[in-house]
Order: sequence, then structure tokens, then C-alpha cells
Amino acid sequence: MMNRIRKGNSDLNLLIVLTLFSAISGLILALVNNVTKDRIAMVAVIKQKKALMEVMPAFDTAEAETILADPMDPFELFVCKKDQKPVGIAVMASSRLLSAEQLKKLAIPENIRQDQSYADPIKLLVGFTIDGKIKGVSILDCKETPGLGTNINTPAFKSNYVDAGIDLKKWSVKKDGGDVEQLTAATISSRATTAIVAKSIAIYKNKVKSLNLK
Amino acid sequence: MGLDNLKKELYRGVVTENPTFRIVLGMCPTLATTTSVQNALGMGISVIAVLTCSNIAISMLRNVIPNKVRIPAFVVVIATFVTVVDLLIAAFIPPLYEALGIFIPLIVVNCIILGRAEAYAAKNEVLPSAIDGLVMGIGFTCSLALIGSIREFLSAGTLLGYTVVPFTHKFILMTLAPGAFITLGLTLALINFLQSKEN
Amino acid sequence: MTSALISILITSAIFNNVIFAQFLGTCPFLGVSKSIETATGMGLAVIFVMVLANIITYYVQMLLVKFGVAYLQTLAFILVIAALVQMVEIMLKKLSPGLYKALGIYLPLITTNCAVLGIALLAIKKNYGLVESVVYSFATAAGFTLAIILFAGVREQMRFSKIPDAMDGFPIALITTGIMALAFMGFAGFKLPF
Repeated sequence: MMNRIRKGNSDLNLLIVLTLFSAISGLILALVNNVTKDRIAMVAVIKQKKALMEVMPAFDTAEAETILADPMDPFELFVCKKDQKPVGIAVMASSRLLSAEQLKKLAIPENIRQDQSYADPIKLLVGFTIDGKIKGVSILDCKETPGLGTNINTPAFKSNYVDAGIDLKKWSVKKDGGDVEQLTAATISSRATTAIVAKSIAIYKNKVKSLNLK
Repeated sequence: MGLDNLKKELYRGVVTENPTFRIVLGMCPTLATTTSVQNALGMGISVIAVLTCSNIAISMLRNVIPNKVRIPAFVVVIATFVTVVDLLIAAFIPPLYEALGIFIPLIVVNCIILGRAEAYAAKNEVLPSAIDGLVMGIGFTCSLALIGSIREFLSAGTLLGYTVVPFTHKFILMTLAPGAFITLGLTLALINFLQSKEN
Repeated sequence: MTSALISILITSAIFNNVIFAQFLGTCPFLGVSKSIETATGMGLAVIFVMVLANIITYYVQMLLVKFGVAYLQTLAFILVIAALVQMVEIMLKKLSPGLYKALGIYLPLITTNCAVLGIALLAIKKNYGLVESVVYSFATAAGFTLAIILFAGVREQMRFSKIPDAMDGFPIALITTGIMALAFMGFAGFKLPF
């Protein structure tokens, strides 16, 4: 029978062979997928937990909330609790331009600076402690100019934000009259990053208010 | 197969018939995944896995596949192994999965794999085909590692993440597109030159 | 919506040029660029295949997700592209035998063109709707055509220069591509006024 399959060149024959191949291939893949899918799902969860651990004080649970839906660039909020009490709130935001209604939805003042990044939007995870300090800033995505804009991901630049009391600083770069030391030759990237932090602060304050913590 | 034969095959795959430098195939991953030695090796090992497995499978099936549909049939086999590798890397080596991105599924259109299937595995026994796949894959990995070392060293002064020379001024262009093209071009020229000297 | 589309159009064709910035499609780029005529022919063929591929794979992906078999994506997409290229071959043979002969072996090689599969995959990753996907694939392929014609022009001129043996062929082609990529880098950070 194998020989007949090989010799026969009719179109139906070819279709049968290909379909058979695809079916077997599909079965093999379904098997491998079954074996790996749980692990792959875990990978995403672990990644998120690791990212939160970098910017939050010690916590045992984190409640995630999508505050601005988007397939590529959602804004999310994480309320981290230890022993049932909130210890910190993390905000995932980016520098993409928000419309007036989006700003309203997030309770961000309409006149806030929305400086844009040089290249694709910068994505940050900003961690706040419950008493109003920035615990950490994690750069999730940055496609700025290598060697210049990418220096926002250095401890030196991040020290502008980390451990700062949110009401104790003016959140714009020094060039614009604020307190943030911008990077040399990377003012645009510095501005964009600071703008994201300012937006995150507004989001954090709004969440704290709604949680009745203050 | 004697050890001598294996050594001869290895020499063929890495030097005389090196897929990147002699046959000049599979350039997209060579340019895209060689920003660091680690990524280059990750890509190379994935290709070795797919190439060897697909060569074995195609060699086993070579008498069953009708001639007219051999290319689509090969593609189905290769795509299957590529997806398996894709899922395994996503599950067990997440950092590599993020580093290589879409270039893992793009292994399916890597001309090297289809080329070897057509030129060798379809016409030879299983063991020789397996070895052919293995040595060609190793050759490809070596060339990826070579380009990767040059680019990583010049752009960051490191190799595999370990600082070799702490540069103060880094040749950052090497991590970007132009650096990739120029490095590959110059390396190819150098190898051509050395080859002609030998002759 | 239109401004978003125009943004995708210009970004994919020029700023994020598929060859000079994304490394996709380098094999045919280097192989079919010896003369401006074949380059144009190849470019047009790629535009046709890429747009159709993106349209079909958009629906295929919807089916895959509906049946929960997203892991079959690579397999399904490459089969679609292979079938598409076969069709284009048959069409060209009938409609333009001259072009068919000129493209020769490079036509079936569009199947293994990383750009076609790559852009189909990226459009899904970026969550583009059907219209955005069409604009994206058209713009990318147009960028490919632009790149390959520019390059062919340069190569035709290079025929009049004396090139050292070791550099001749691929090496000088790669270095030239690198210099052109450098030029295209000038577009980085370009912000469209809308």
C-alpha cells in the first residue's frame, strides 16, 4: 500500500497524504501543548510577582485591577496586602498619550504633563507604600536610544524617584522648573519617565481615597 | 560510524560547508539574534534540535512522501518540531523565550533546515541524516557564536555576560541593525580571504 | 482612526523598515537585487503575497483561538503562505511569463521569506484589526520594495567599481546594506505631527 501511495500522483492522493501528515502533526502538538501549558501559564504569574516584589515592601497577596484596558499597553493597579492589611499599591502605566476622557476615568488632572517618549511608549511599574512614599520604580519596557535614553534604567536616575515622598517634590524635570534631575542628552526620555510617575501618583492617590485609607 | 568519520563530518559542517559563511543561508536569525553570545547560543541550540529531529523524521518518511508534495510535507514536519521547541522554551527557559521572540517560530522558514531536508535527508538513511543535521546545526551555532562574540564584545566589553575589558566608550552601534550587517559582511570577507589564501 | 493608519503606514514602510531595522527578508533582499528590473518584480510579488497572507492569517487566527488551538499557529500560517505562493506562481506563469522566468527560483523562495511569516505573526502580536493588518502588511512590503530597489540601484553602480575578491558578492552587499541601515536610523525618534 505504501508503494501505491508513493506512485500515485493524483491530486486526491496528494491531499490525503498532506491531511494525514497535518493530522499526525496536530496530535503531536496537542500532546506537547498539554504537557507545557500549565507551566507556561505559571511563567506569566511568576513574572508578575517578581516585578511586584521589586517595587513593593513584603506582601503575601496582590489584587490586580485593570484600570485602563488595552491589548498592548494596559494600565493596571496592584493592591498588595500582608496579613489582610494593604502595605502598598503598585501602578503599571506608560507614557502613551491619554485622551481627556481617559484622564477623567483615571482621576488624573486634565492639565497634567503628558510628555512623550522618544520612541515607543515607556512602560513603568511604580510602587507606593501606604504612607505615601515611592518604594521603587521598575522599567518594564524602554525602547529609547541605547546609551542615552536607556540610562533611565540606572540607579542614579531612579534615585530621583525612589524613597521620595510624593507630595514633597515637584514632578517635572529641572529644565521645566521641577525637582527631577534630567539625564544629559536625554531630556525627552527623562521628561517622559517623570510624566509617567506623575500620572501614577495621581492614580495612587485616587485609589487610596477610594480604599478609605486616609 | 567510526570516530574518524564523525570528525570529518564535524569539519564539514563547521568549516567547509558552514551554512552561514560558505552556503550563505539563514541570514535573518544571524543578524537578529547575535546581539549577545547567550542569545546566539540559545538560537543555535534550538536550530540544532529542530534540524536534527526534522532530518531524522524526513529520512524515516522519505519513501512514503509522494514527490509532488514533498516540500509541503517537509514544511509540516519542520513546523511541528519548531512548535515543540517553541513550547518547551516558553515553559522551561522564559528569559530565552523573551530574548528570541518571533525568531523561534521563524526557524520554520530558515532556509538551512528546508535546504538540508531537500538536499540530504530526503535521499539518505536515518543515521547519516541525523549526523548531517547535527553537524550543520553545530556549524550554524558556531557562526552565530562568532558574530555574537564580536558584537557583544565591541558593544559592551563582555562575553556571555562576563566583563572582559571594561570599556568606557562602548561601540553601541554593534547592537543595532547597521552593526549587524557590517559585522557579518566583514567577517564573511575575512573568511573568504583566508579561504583563498589556503587555495 | 485614519491618523493611526497613516502612522502605521509611514512607520512600517520607512522608520521601522523591514530590512534595515527588523532584519526580516534579508535572503531574497540580497539574492534578487542584482538589477532594478528583477528587484521591482520581486517587490511587487512580495506586496501581493504579504497583503493576502495577512488577510487570510487574520481569519485563521480567529479560528485557531475559537477552537483553543493557538499553538497550531506556526503550522497553520506557514501552510497558508506556502499555498498562497503556489497560487501566485501559477498566476504569474499564465499572466506574465517574462517576469516568471526572471524571478526564477526566487518566486517559490518567497515562502521561506522570513518577512512574510514574520509580519503575519507580528500583526497578531500587535493585536491589529483587519484594516490595520492590511495597512501594516502593505506598508511593510512597500518598504521592502523601496529597500530592494534602492539597493539594486546601488549594486548596478557597484558593477563599475573594482572590488577585492574577498569582498565581492555577499560581503560588500552586507556592508552596503549596513550603511543604508545607518542612513535609515536617522528616522529614529521621528514623531509624526498627529
